[in-house]
Amino acid sequence: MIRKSQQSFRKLLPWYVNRSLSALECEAVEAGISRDDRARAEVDAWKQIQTAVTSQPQRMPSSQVRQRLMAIIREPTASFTRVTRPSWSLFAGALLTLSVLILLWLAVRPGVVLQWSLERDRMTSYRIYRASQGSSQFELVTEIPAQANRLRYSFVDALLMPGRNYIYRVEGIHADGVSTFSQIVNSHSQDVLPGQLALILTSVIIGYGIVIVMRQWTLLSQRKVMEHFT
Amino acid sequence: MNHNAAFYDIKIVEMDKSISSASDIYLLRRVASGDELAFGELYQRYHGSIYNYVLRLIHEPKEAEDLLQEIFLAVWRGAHRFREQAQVKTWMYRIAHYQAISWLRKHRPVTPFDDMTVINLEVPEQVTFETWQSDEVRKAINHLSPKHRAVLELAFVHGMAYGEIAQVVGCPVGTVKSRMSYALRVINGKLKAADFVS
Repeated sequence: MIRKSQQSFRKLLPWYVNRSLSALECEAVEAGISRDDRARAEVDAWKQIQTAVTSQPQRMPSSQVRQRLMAIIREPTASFTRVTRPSWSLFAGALLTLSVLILLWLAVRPGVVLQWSLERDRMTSYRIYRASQGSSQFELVTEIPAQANRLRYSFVDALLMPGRNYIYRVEGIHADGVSTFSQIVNSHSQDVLPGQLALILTSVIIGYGIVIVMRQWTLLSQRKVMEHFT
Repeated sequence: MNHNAAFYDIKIVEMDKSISSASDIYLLRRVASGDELAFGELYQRYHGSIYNYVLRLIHEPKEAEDLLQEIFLAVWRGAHRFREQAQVKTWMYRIAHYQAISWLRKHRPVTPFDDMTVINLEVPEQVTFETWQSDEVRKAINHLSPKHRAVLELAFVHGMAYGEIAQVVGCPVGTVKSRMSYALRVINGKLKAADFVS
């Protein structure tokens, strides 16, 4: 019991040194010190620590901190929000939008759907050609290998410039190397555009939506911290 | 016209005088209502001590300036939520402590000290305290973890009572006292190990 009481008064010694104890506590500590040499040595140790700590060089922040602060609080929109760089939010939103767009584009593949069928299975592969409408300069889009016993094929051309019309033809390659061309078919941009725009819009909403939610979440956690402080 | 201008000048001087002698709580109430002048006075009173407190915990002058800005922005934005259950100074230091510790958590490895260690390390009865040099003590203090340094700083540089320190660092009074005792043991141990003490 006595040991516990000794320890409790010794735990007050740093605050005896910094003079923040109440009069009652001060009396108890002084009574303890008067009968305990070790406590007196500890007080001296605390005084040396106090001297060392208080003699550390003081630095002052740059005056720009005050200027920046005053500029921020004078902004009409200055509210609880932590100062975030808008360019960072824009960049993060754009990056998320692009990622979502790529994923959705690969999943939905909004584009021109070409379908063709055969009477007999005798081709080894099919080449799909595309040209802008009004041009005869066909370019190879892709080559699809033929599958045994399969008579119906389809291909989605999703890499299209919005608003542009295209023409297509399919070249069937026979086993002997001879090829046969299909007739030319037209595609109209207005058939594809709504789907593409819907995907772009959805991606923008999801991308920037995530950024907004994250900012709101940060704001909410800051608000909780401030409420905790008050 | 000239008379009016002179009268106006005198009025401004009087207003500044009243601000500079106002209590912290009065200033904070005015800050809560959007008074920039009161905010400027609070900044003037505390920016140096809070900056040095944060700087001694994180040891990065530029980052400490950024944190100082964040701390005073938090004061500006949170002034209307202050419920006057603590001193304004304690409240501001608590925000500063929180910001500094959050920064350290993000930028520094986890400190090996924890409160369990403190509880298990009792002061041996035979420990002796010698005469130390301030420089040597300061070196030894640098071996303390930020949370132990924080308690020392708040007690000796900022003259806080243990109850106030507990409010600032957000832990029980017993933990504050234990951290102080632990800090003394570490400093004493470091000084002896480094042969600083004769």
